Amino acid sequence: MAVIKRNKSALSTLSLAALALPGVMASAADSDQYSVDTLFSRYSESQNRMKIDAYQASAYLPLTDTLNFRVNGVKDVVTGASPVTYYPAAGKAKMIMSGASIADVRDAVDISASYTNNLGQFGVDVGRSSENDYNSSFFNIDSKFDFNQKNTTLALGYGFASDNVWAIDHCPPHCEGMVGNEGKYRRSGVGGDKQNHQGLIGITQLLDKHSFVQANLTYSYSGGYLSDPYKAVYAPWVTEPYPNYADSGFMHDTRPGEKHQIAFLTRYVRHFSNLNSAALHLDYRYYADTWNIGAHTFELSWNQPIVDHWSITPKFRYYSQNAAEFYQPYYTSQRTDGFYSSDYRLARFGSVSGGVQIEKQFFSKLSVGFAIDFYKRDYSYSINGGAGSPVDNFTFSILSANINYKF
Amino acid sequence: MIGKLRYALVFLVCLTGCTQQVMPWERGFLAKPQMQLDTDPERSKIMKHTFSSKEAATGGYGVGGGGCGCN
Amino acid sequence: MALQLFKYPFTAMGSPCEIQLYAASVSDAAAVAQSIIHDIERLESKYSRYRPDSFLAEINRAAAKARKIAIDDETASLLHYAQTCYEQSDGLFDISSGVLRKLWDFKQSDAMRIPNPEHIQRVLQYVGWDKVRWTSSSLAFSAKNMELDFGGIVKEYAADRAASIAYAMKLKYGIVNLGGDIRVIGPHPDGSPWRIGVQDPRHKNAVLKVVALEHGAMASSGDYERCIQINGQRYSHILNPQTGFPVNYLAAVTVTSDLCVLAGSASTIAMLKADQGMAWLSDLGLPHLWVTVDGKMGGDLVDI
Repeated sequence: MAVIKRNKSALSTLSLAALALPGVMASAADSDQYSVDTLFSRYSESQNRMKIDAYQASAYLPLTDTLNFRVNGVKDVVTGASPVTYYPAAGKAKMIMSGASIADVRDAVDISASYTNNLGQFGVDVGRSSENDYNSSFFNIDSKFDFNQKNTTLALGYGFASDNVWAIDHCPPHCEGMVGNEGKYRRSGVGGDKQNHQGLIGITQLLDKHSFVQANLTYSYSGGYLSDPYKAVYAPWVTEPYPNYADSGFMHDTRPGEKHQIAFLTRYVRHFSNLNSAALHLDYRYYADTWNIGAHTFELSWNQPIVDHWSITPKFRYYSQNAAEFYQPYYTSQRTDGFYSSDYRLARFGSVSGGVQIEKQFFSKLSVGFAIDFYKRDYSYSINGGAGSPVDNFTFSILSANINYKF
Repeated sequence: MIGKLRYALVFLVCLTGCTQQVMPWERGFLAKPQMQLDTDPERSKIMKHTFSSKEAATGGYGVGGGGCGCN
Repeated sequence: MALQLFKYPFTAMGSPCEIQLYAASVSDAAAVAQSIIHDIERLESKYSRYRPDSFLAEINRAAAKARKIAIDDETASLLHYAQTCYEQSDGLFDISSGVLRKLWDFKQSDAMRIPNPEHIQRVLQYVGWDKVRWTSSSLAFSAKNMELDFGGIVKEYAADRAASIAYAMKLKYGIVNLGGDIRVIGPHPDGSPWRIGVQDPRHKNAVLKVVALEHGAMASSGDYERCIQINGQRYSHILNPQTGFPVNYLAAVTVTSDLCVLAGSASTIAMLKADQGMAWLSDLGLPHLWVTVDGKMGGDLVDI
């Protein structure tokens, strides 16, 4: 009996040593596993402005060697308040918040299929997202082609989205549209349809057996109602009352009906054998649009495997943008182009963010992770120019937990 | 035509950096999960969604939207 | 997309080899076969003891002078595997035993004499894994005139890597045969297994047993071709590092396992264990088949 025991361990000892040989461990089944990924995250803004709980789930279904499907679902529960407009007080912008009036749920689902043959990999993704003030239907197609003995991959993609946006008011207190009938109603005079077309061309190139780079260029065209139906701008020359607030001197956020955007992203990934297979990820993105916004994004993360399938990943990100050409925190005179927006997302600002993620894998089937991320936006962090205001400085944190399972 | 385009692309890429041919059996490191472009697709989806709803810049990572009222 | 079978026979590591692959087109199959053969040639030129320009030859030049030498990750992992085999075989599987071949000339099957005991003792001083010191980046020898030989490992390792290369290139059905060391990439596309004949050690064209494999590997060890007869006694080319003598109890051992390298070293260890080999195999728990020099056959592969 003792001899048998020793030899059973002989088999496992020999197997372990054999599996440690480079390149013998791959198996045909690696890429064909059904899997389910779930993530919960909680977004909280400073001063209790806004809170979003997001529930995500995704199922990967490989049907055959060449055809697979993926189903994604997201539910966001949004509560809190957000800035509506600004007005000048002693030469500085003062913010008017919406009050704790936001209570929205976003449901999004999309289904994608991917097919691989001798020519390349082809995918299609169709989905819909709906909120009580926003609907979006979209589809994307993408393809990948390998060249140069799979050292080079070319990616081409196209996406289309058709969206509809409006504003919801509650009665009371805003009962202009539906006196005597409490509940939600759609605010008149704002909202509309918009369409978006996107194109992508990208190249991934292996540099050596430890590193590769990717360069992507995306172009996007949006047309239609691109304003924010909830937001107003301070416009002292306006005499008629602003709906819902009954104050004169304000008008609706009014942006151009067209926007062209480009983004150029380069990514570098490197492996470090002598640091327990740690991986460095470096991203830089340049962005520009026809509203005259330019932005730089730098991202850096370090994925460090530790022991027993634990890993830790610290992340850092820096972002800087300049203001849209028509943006002002508040207006003192009329613009000839007729465009007005005080949306803080169109202002000059910069942000720094960072976080850390901890992941543990069990039996190469189950993996569980936690992450915490902090984000700080500040007017003075921008390396770009244009109008902006420290009144829009804020911070947020995101706590998230994930469970992934491979069958 | 396609063939020429293919070589033009390869040539373009080869010009931009000193790359060395990586054989299929040398891709063990590149195949590790931490070496994927998107090591955690679910988490990066929520992070990108959050950033693009608080900042003007978007795009680069791929095509596809998801709709967002984003107050 | 109908898959066709493509066959690629070639010679490597001194043995006839063949790759059989199912692919949609000849270009797909050729690309995979080319990558596999390229890797086998790489390993052969790195670990061949016949090539003076191989890395193994460089190791052995250092070994001859008991010098220290820097090694790469792949070599370190092979040394680690060799060490594990040494420990699990109680010192019988020893990659430093190749120097004993100087005592025995296997090419000459007639008129061979047993070397005298003093000569054997002198050569045995140059044998012994315990005289080798190694880390993940260096290898050192505490005695002069030693020699290493990855013969019992590298061919099997190459077969396992061949399967990984095929998987990386999305090929799932096929088989690799490197001089009798077999690794199945995957079954026939209809799911049926490959049927592999185990050669009779005494009759070159006779098949002892047909083994069906859908996945995994099969390797054999035995005195099929390279053997000697002394005073009517058959000796195999497998040498016992403790006695300096070739083993002469088992004629052949075949083992199946998930990995070819594991099947290969298990069959070699069983040969070295001689009359203890059959018990060692059945305790190990891998499917196997053995034939003794006097023609007895056994093992759990016989009965299936």
